[in-house]
Amino acid sequence: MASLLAFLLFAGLAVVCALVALFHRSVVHSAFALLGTLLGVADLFLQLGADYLAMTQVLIYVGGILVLILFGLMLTPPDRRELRPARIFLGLAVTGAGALLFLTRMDSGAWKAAPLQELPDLANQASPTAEPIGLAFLERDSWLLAFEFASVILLAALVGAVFIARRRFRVDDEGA
Amino acid sequence: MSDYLLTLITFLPLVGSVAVLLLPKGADNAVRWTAAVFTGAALALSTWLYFVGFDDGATGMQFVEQRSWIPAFNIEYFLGVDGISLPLIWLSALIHFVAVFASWGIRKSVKGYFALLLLLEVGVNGVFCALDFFLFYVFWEIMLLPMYFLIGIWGGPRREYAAIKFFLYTLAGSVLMLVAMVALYLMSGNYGDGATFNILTMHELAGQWVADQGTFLGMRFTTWIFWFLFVGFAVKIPVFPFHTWLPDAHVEAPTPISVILAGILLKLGSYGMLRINFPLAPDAFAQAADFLAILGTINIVYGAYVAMGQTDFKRVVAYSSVSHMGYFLLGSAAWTIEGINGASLQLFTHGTSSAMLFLIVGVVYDRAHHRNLNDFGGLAQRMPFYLGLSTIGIFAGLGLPGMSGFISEALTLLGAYQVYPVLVIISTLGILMTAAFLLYALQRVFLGPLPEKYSGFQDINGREAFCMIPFAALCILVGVLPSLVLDKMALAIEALQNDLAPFFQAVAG
Amino acid sequence: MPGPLTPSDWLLAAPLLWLAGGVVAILVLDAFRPAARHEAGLAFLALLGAAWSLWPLAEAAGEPLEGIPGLPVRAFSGMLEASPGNAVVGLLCLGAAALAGILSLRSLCRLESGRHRTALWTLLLVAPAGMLVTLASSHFATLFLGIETLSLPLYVLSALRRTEEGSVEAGLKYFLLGAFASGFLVFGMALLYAGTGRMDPGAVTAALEGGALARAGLGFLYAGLLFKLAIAPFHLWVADVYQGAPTPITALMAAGTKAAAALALLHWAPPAGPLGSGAWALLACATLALANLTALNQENLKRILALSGVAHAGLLLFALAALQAAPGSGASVEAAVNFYLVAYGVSALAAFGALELLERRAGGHAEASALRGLGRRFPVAGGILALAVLSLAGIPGTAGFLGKYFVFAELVRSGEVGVALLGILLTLWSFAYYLRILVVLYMKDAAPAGGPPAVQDTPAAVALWVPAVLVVLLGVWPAPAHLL
Repeated sequence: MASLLAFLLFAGLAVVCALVALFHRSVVHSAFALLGTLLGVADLFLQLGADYLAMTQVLIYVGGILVLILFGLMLTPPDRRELRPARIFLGLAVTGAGALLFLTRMDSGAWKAAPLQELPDLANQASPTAEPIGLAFLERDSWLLAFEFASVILLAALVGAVFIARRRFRVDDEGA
Repeated sequence: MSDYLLTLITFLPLVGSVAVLLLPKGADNAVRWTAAVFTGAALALSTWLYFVGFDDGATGMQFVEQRSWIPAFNIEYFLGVDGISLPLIWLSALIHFVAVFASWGIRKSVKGYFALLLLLEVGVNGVFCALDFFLFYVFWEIMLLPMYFLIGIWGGPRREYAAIKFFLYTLAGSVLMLVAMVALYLMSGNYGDGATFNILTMHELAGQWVADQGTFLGMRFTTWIFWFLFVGFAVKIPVFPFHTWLPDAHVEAPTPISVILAGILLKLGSYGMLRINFPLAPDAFAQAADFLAILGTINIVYGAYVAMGQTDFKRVVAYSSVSHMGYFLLGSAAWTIEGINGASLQLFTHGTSSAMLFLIVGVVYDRAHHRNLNDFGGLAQRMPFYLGLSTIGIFAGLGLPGMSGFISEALTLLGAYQVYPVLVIISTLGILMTAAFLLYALQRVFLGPLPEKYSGFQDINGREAFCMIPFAALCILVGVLPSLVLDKMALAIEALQNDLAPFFQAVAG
Repeated sequence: MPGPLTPSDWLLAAPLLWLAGGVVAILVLDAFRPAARHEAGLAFLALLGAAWSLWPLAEAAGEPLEGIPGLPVRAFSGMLEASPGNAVVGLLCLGAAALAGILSLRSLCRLESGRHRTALWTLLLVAPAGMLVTLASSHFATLFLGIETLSLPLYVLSALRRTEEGSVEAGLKYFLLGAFASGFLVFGMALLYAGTGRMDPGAVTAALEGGALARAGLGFLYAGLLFKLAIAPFHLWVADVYQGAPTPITALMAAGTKAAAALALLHWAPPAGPLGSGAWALLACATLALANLTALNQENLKRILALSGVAHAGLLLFALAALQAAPGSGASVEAAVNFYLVAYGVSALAAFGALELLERRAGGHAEASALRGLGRRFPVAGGILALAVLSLAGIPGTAGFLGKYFVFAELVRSGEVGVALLGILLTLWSFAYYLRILVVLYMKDAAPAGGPPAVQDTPAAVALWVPAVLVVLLGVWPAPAHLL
């Protein structure tokens, strides 16, 4: 019962904050409202026993992406056209349709055909998941290669980003 | 050496081609002499093969070389020579050798020209030597490209058009051939030692797959294969109505390339029919024979008829080729010993006489820079030696008794008369017209008053004479002594005729 | 179950370690000694090392696979899987990167006084690493990572000529559409995992038997892969991107990306089943027809070659159709595909490489009007381009012909004779624009020379001989490569 209460509380927080983010006139407020949504979702992860995922959610989405969004907002002139209600309702309609489809599909048994039991059963795990996930990243038989190789792509992304970013500075230099 | 003789004949020009490319820029004379040396070496080897190495009395393939090439598809590097291919190999070597000298005056990108010319010889010789269908096809296509470039780069004003037309016609034909080739390969997989491209093995299997073949879209399997192959080869001969590329290609091509085109390239289609098309789909061939004979007659009469109306000297000769190649079709469609002998000899004699005729055209074109017959006249006064050689060429072309053309045409008609008397009578019309337009051309070029502008013409020089004399000699020699060629072919043709005769009897009975 | 790396793990990881090591070495040295020009040397060393470590596997190509235990090599408990033939294609990718590097030495490296050399050389190492992972991928994780790792560097490299609008546009276009494709890919994987609970190629089989969601996932997965392979209707980006990107980079994209994506598609192709061969054959024919149709009207040789690449990718789908029609033909179809990829790869490398050299002579343009008659003025580069074009067209005696022949032979062998005939006709059609390139190069009179005189580029001229010789060698002597 307590868990249901917690679920309703945080799910509600996520939804309400999402609506605030959508409808608030100030984009900065919207960004902060998004914080609530992200935290709400993080808590849902936590309740499902995915503590690692929850932490990642907070670290990456709150610590990284949200801050990035704030930077973006602060450094660009506001564009009011983005707030036209028609767009918002269109977005809501599409989301709702997706959700509806998802729910009906769930009912129709498309999910039941899937061998869900093969998924790691994180919900019933008493121990924190961070350790097994961390180990899995470094074990030969699970995700070692993918984990290590991901660093290559990140490195490439970094190099590419530096290259592209430097262009702007150079053009400015030349213009000056 | 004789173990690798055919490889040498085929690939010496390739070595020459690479050698030419490696020579420094601007060393044009070195390029020409290198080409002459390598084509000359191939000619020497094939002459040895023709007169010394080849055993007239032996049946089957000689100088066979056989080793695995692409094992996954059982493709072999398989060369060999028999009486049908032998004269053509020698002719090819001779014509390419002469073409090198006829090309002495080429000034544009000399290196590229001779490299392509030598590459062309690789393809041609390879086609005549190959006994593996896949290998045959590869050589066939290799030959296509140098020709495309030789016409397209060194040709006349409409060279691009002529080159592309030549390429597309031939390519369309060879794609049909490719399809038939794959089908034959798959069919051969049902028998014996599994699928093969070996032409001789396919030939042996032909009787079996004729017996138990299926149908495809309502037509028998071998019938499909026959027509695919036939169109593929007919484009090259060229058989009416696939002939329209030929006059354009000839008119735009430089003289030596015309010589090669008429002298040897047209023979490849006919050779392919004798070697592959007819033996591998024998029942369909026997059924189609009547139709082929009619096509042959159309070629003879139509080619000659159109030639009569031309004013461009080269076009006249080009259409005369169309007419002459009709004899091959008529003779082989009859499938009598005389007919096939005549048809095969016609390949050789037309090779020499048409090469000669194009050289003749080349001589006046080099001097007058046009080929309009109505604009010539009286050249006999200035160029007596040229007149003499031209007369030999033209007489050989129109089949005067005592010249090579007479023997082959007479044999062909003799053989065909036993089966298609009416068609032969119609074909004689073609002979008449050929005589008419060739003599008319001779008259317009050499007789009558000499226009003022041509009074400065020199008689042919040593190089031009050197190019024409071998052909002139052959025209007379083969006319007097046809056994020089016929003896080489006799056994192979007899065997081939015997193999396919039952299918003709089946159709007749 | 933790454990040390096995020999086969090392075998497949070693090339990646070489390449990643090269990247790190370049970056570290660059940080400490920015003035030193060490990038190119280190990059070639890394590529060479990667090729050297891949060689033991590639060496076994041509042997019948059944006889050798431990082949195909599986590493990291099934994350990667590679046959010797795949390794040969991997060598092709490394070679493509090396050739792109050599072609850049005298052109891209000198742009803007070379300040972006670091980016150029590191990305030239990362891209083949991504290709190697992609072509051996047998797990969603490696497939996705591989495709992203090969794409990301190419997005940036396409925009390397930052002062040219075309180049920047190419990079941006490639990036946006590529991101879209990645979205498809990852969404497809998610649905497949949700529907089947598997992340290995077995998920495809399971999805075909499973529910609608998993099948939708399959569709998304293929859409993502077909985008990378540039199959119609996902081919529209190709001409613009290939044209806008610097030609050395285009060469790498044409040879490497295509090969990697094609092998990935083959690994993840459904086994014979409900999908049937019809869908693949239809896609192949449509791609060929559209590519041919579009290529006929192009004035830019790079665009023509780009569309020729589309047509070649379409032809590859015939191999998949053959696989569908004849379930037991996996090994021989894979051999045909491997050979085809190598044949196309070397031809494309030779073509784009030679085009780059000619382009410099024509003042940086690849328009037909600018390249008129250049084949005769520059016989070596022109000759190599002509040879490559002939190989792309599929003239016997070249690698391209045998590649096409093997694919069509598989198709005929599987019983799809009608499809094969249609395919051959469509291929025939393509000759029209290949001939046009030859006409432009050789049969037109030369245009007046424009632009600044080109820098003498000996390394590129020498390196171009490698693919050119391979085109001929594989065309006449495919024995070592035909059973990849």
